Amino acid sequence: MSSPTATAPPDDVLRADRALVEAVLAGAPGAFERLVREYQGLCWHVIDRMVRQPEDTRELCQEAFLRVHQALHQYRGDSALKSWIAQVAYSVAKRHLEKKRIPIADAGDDDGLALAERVGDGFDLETATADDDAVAHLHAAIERLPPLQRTLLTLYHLEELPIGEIAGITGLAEGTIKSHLFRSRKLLRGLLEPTLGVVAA
Amino acid sequence: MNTTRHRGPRPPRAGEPPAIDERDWIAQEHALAGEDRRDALLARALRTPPPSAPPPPGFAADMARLVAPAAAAHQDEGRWEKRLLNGLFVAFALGALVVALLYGGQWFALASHALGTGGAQWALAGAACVALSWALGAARRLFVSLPPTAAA
Repeated sequence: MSSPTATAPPDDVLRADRALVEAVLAGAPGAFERLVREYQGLCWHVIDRMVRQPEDTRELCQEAFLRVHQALHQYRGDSALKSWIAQVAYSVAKRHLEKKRIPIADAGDDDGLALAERVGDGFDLETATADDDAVAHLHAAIERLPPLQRTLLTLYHLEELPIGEIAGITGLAEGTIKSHLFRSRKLLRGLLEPTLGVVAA
Repeated sequence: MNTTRHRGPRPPRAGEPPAIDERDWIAQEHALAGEDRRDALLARALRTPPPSAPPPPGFAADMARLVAPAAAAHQDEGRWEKRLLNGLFVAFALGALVVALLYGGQWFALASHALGTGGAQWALAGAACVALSWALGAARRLFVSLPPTAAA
């Protein structure tokens, strides 16, 4: 697995980001559309993983990109544009969940038991012979994690952002992010334990 | 809005999960990169996007259309500010020229009295150099800021 370990984006990435931002700010034709096309997948992933309501995702993504457009002159270019946009998307989705009084994180004080029950509910890999079945079950289990844990897994594994940048996006301590990731992955791996053990035996 | 600037590690707040041992973290990272079937399946599931609807095909174009009026208004505002600034600059330059023509003789007489005729001439030459250099720079900025058709 290629785990993201770098802490600073390469110079050529920052240069390209700055060029794109300057083009948007100068009103170059098609520049903002290019920016949206480049980062809409990231925005979609973050918001979709946070809110899990397809009908809300489009509206919130639209809101996120409007905020990006309004605040782009504040982008200083000392971090990757990808992280900056992910931060906007995360804050839009977080505010949406707070408005709806949906807790974004697991309380973390019950040793993960309640979480394990929720994630493992109906999870049976006894009959899963193909890898695709197991992956589909894991995806379903990830969907049952709390919004924050789902999003951290997405940012770290799918978007391959380093822990330091995820800390900047979410405002969480690096140790807290690692702890959430560690516990979520341990839980998910635990779901595979009995079945594969039987199959392998 | 706060931009992404990392201020170093922050201690966990109350209610956040307890910190994990760095060795456990590294061991789990290595395991996910290993060849064990369970770990490989988990790594694959984590790396692949969830089965959800992707952004609709015209989303980027729709966004560009949505922000176009605001962007145009912002551009107009910028152009108006630039024109105002240029107008003020021209007025200031003309004012300075008129004042120099009206009072230049008196200033030169005062300078000659204080510095001597030679000194006053050198001071006048120096001031003329500075003024010419500033005027050329300002004229160049003014020329560049004009639209291409007007500048051509």
